[in-house]
Parts: sequence; C-alpha cells; structure tokens
Amino acid sequence: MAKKKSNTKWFMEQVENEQSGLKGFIRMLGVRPESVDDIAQEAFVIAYKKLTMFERGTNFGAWLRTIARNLVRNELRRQGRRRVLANDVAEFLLSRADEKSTHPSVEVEQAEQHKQQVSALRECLQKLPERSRRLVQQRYFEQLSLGVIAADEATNANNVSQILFRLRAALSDCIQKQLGNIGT
Amino acid sequence: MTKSKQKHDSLPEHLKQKADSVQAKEVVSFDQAMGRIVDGEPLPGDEQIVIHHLRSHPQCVQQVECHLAIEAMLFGEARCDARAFVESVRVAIEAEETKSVFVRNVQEAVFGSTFGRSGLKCDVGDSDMQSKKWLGNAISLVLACSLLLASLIAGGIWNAAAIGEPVLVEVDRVDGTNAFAVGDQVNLRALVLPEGAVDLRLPSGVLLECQSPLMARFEHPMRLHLSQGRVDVDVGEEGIGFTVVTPVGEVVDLGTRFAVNASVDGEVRVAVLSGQVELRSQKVGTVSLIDGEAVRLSGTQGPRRLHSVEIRNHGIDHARKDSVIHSVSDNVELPKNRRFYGLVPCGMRDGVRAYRDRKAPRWEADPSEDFPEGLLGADLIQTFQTHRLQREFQLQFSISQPSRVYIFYDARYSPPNWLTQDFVNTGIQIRSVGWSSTAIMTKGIDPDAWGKIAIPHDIWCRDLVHPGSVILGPPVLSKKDLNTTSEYEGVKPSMYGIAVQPIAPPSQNIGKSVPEKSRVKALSVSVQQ
Repeated sequence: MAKKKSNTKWFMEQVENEQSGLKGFIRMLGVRPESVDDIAQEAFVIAYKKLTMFERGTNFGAWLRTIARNLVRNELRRQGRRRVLANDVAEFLLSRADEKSTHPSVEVEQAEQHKQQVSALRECLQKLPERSRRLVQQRYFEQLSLGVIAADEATNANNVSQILFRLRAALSDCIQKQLGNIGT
Repeated sequence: MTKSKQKHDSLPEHLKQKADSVQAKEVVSFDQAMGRIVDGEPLPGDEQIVIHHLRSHPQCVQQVECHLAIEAMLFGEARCDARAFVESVRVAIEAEETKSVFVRNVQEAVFGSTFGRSGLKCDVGDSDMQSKKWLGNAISLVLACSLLLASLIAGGIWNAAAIGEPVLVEVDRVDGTNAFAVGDQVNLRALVLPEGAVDLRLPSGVLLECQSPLMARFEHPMRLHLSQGRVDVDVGEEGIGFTVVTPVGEVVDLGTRFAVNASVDGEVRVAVLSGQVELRSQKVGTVSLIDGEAVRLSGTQGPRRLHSVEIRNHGIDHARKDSVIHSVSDNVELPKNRRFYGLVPCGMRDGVRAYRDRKAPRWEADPSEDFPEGLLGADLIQTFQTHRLQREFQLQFSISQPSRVYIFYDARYSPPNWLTQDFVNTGIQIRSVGWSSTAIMTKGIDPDAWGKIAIPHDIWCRDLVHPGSVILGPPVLSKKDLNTTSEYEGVKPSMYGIAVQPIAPPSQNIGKSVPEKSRVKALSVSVQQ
C-alpha cells in the first residue's frame, strides 16, 4: 500500500512537470486544440495503468509521447476522426514524430526547451502591437471563430487567418531571439 | 550552387521573372492553406496543397510544426488551467481505481461475497457438473441483472441503495419542506425530496443544494447517484473530485461549483457555474466544461448546448417562485459553443453580476442615485460581452405573463433601430462597474471619483401585456458613432443587459403594449405590482 502511495505521488509529480510539453507535442501531431487536453489525459491514465512497465531512470516524457502517438494513431484509424485537423497532414506529422522518436536526444531536448519557450512567449506577447494583441485575445482567449473576428475587423475570414499566420511567425521569431539572448 | 539555382540563373530575364512569380504564388498559396488548416477552418483543396509542400519542401514541415507549437502555447496560456488539468488526471486515475472496487462491491452485493472467486479455485470436479453449475450461475446472473436493471429503470434505485454507504450530512438550509430542519445531522443513504429545497453539507465540506422533486443516493461521501431532480454542487477546498453519477454519464468536479439536473425523460443537463467539470459518458467519452458552459444530453443524443440556466441566489428574498422568462436562445452557431445565459429570478439589484463571460462587471446605480425602484427584484438575464462582436446577433426569449422588459444599452452610442422602434428611453441610467482599465470596451473612460471604471447604460423599456416572445438585435455602431470614434479602432458598444419585471394586468396598468415616450418617462421605472 505504501509503495502504491509513493508511486502515485511520483506519478502526479510527473504529470505536473510533463503536462504542458505533452500537450504541445499532441497539438503538433495535428490534433484539434479542443481535443488536446482529452488526449493528454488519456495518455496519462494509460501511463498510470501501465506504470509497472516503465523503467525508472529512463525518459518518462519520451514514454508518454510514445503513448500519445499511439492514441493519435488510433484516432486516425477511427471513422469520423473528429479530433484531428486534416487526416493526411496529421498522418504526415505523426510519421515524422515516429521518425524523431528514434533519436532519444531530440526527445529530451523537446521537453527541456518547452518551458523556456513558454516563458519567452509571455515576454513576446507583451511586445505585440495593440491590434495584434486584440486578435490574440479574440482568437485564443475568447476562442472566437475566424468569421466572428472578421466581422468585427470589417474584413474576411481568409484575411484574419493570414494575419494570425503572420502573427504566429512573428511570435516564433521573437521567441527564437529571446532564447538566443538567454543563451548568450 | 544547386542545379535548380544554376538552371534558374541560365534562364532569359522574362522567364526568370515568370518562374519567380510562380514560386511566390506557390508560397502564398501554401501559407494561406496552412494558415487555414492550423486555424481549424480549411477550404477544399487546402489539405492537398499543404501535403504536397510537406512532402517536397522540408522547410515547410518545420514551418507547420512551428505554427502548431506557437498555437499550442497560446491556447495553453489562454486556458491557464495547469492545476485543473493535473486535478483532472488525478480524478481520472482515482475513478479508474474506484471503478474496479465499485464493480466488485456491486457483484458482491448482488451475488454474495464469493462471486467471481470460485473461478480462482482449482476445482477438479465432474466436468458435466461444472457446466451445469456454470449454466446455473449464468441464469442467476441474467435474472439478477434483469432485476437490477428493472429496478433502476423504474426509478426504484433504492433497491440497489444498499450498495452505497450512509453519509453523515448536516442540514444548512431548508425551504418549503418539513422533511429536514436546519442544523439536523442525518446519516443519509438515499435522498427523496418530493417538495421544497434543502442544502446539505457533507463531511468533506461539499455543499449540495437540492431542489425538488429529487431522487438520489450516495455511493460514498464523494459520489452521488442522481436519478431525478436538480442538485447544485459547491465543492469548496476539499471536495475536488466530487462526482455526480447520472443515467447518461458522470460529472466530475475539478473545482468550485456546478449544477446537474436529471429529468424523468432521461435527459441530463449540466451547467458549470464556476471552475471546471468533466462529463464522462460511454457515448461521448470525456468532455470538459468550463465556467459559463452548459450542455444537455440523453441516452440517444450527445451533448448539445443548453441555452439558459436558472441561477438562484439565496441572498435574495424570492417574491415569486418561478421566473417569468423562458426559452432564452440566440442565433450564435459557433463550433463547440456551449455558453449559457444566466437567468436569475428576482435577481436584479445593486451589485448583481452583469455578464456570464465577465466575472467582475456588476450592475450598479449611479453613485448619486438610488437603485431604480422598478428594477429591483426583476428577473435578470446575464448576457455575453463577446456577443457584441456578432453583427447579425439575435437574442430571443419568452415571457409567461404580462411584463415590462428592460434593456440597458451603452449610453455612449446611438441606439440601434431595433431598440428605438420597440422600446422607450426612460431617461434613467445604471452603470456596469468593475471593468479593467485595459478592457477594449472602456477605452476613453476615466475612473470616477471612487476610482471605478464604469460604462453608463440608458434604461429602455417596453410593456408586453400578453405572454409572448421578444426578439432583440445586436449592439451596433451607427454612422454617426463611426465618425466620432474613429480614433478608437475596433471599439463597439458594450453588450446590453436585460431584465424583466412582471406587471399587473393591462386594465390595472398602463394599458399599452408600447407606451408613449412621455408617459413612460413620467412613470419612471416604478412598477405597480
């Protein structure tokens, strides 16, 4: 019983440490934003059930990502596939993730970088011009559709998508610069 | 230099320009298609364009991954739900473990403590006898399951209540029933409430606000089986993970407050009043609901948006039992839209929450004025601030008796036609108070003498002498407003508020469905009850 309790405590610590990176990983497999939490939770529950199969001291994050990859693979096999963005794109991203997983060093790198990236993103959001901040607020915080945002901005959904595209690219550049500054 | 580059350089100038132009178009096309896919709103053909580029241009793969990664981080920042997520995993794990224990308890309660264990013994008896025993067990199993199922279907879950354990509850509040008295401490296994309402406090600090008619039973202090009626659950600090089991799935609280209503026809309604819950059912899997979201689902249909939820506030002396407002709905059709309008019976008063999607803003009187008397105790609809962005927005509701409908419209802007045509400006204002200084809709507003940022709202009204429906339009900028507010790009009127006060029959009251402007002004907003 005591061993089970200590296992659970250790496992919940891993959930805290890994959840953010795992969700990012799942999204990068082409899973819809609203389904990311569900699949991440399923991955953790499966990991807990199979905890005896995990070898302590090895990379827990990489093991979780393997489970997540399998869950997304199952999702792609299912009819409907409502939890992924576009089937062919998701399949492509999944196969790429499978290839990457054969290089454990990359896996370790991913987990470590994620926290720094989130921290850099916060700084970068502060630097955005007002209109861009408003778009981020509407799209990601209020979760409005492109059409609704377009109506408010007196433009069309395609333009909003392009503005968001440039916005994400700008944020990515900013994060790279931030992380570069930290490194120097 | 690559071969393609050499080939490009060897082309005549006009062909070189053409090749560059084609390449630029391809890039734009890929960017657009990829942007739409990442945004979850692809057009036909987008997937083919993206997959073609992913296969032929390695840099495109990095680009897609980069956009998805940034998006994931932005959604992660927006939700700020790390703690709730960790709790959801903890609850899911506990549920997995509890499930196996519960199944064992059910088996033992129905079939006796030896159920399932005989199979573990290495019994080398006569094989024919073994098969007969197996057949006998199977028949017993089918009969017992049928009985259990029949008792559950008939609403007689009390037969199975022996499976649960008694839970010590303390009675916090009683209204309209003699079944309980405030301060009672009772060991409850099953709970039947044919009339009235009662608040029960569990040892974990969880508060259950039960409304009749209600039938429920405890499985243990953290699990309540609800077969009929509405229970509002406030889990407090210690009760995270409290679960309400309904005929169509389980509702697991991940913090704070939610409501579950099971009707006799098998439909279950779940609303999150604050915090987050998880709805788990075999049919739809796990669905997360956050503050302000509500769904209804049944055995045959998955979760659908529940447009309005009645929110009772015990601090209010309810002059009426039921709200006069019914069937609130809108024309907002967004994917995953599960937001509900808060319907607060008799809830209109100084300091009441104004919007469902903004916690801070409250309706308040002007500091130099009393709260408008006619508004006090009116039924309130808590609207959504984000709906101010919907150009074709329509909100519809019904009233069950003659009533005066009030609209609180942003006084900084000209009223829209739909308002001026059917409603009359009373000349009185209230304010929505408690906005952040950075909120888009408060641009240009300075804090008042008390340091509060408040948006003034004109009170408009209309009398409806017969029960019927009301349709309201969007808050919109007039051409005049557009000219005067051009320096504040994107600014729009704040979302309006709605209150409805029942009035006496027409013969005893003002007698016009749409009263004349001067008359309403003279009447102010005081209502003859």
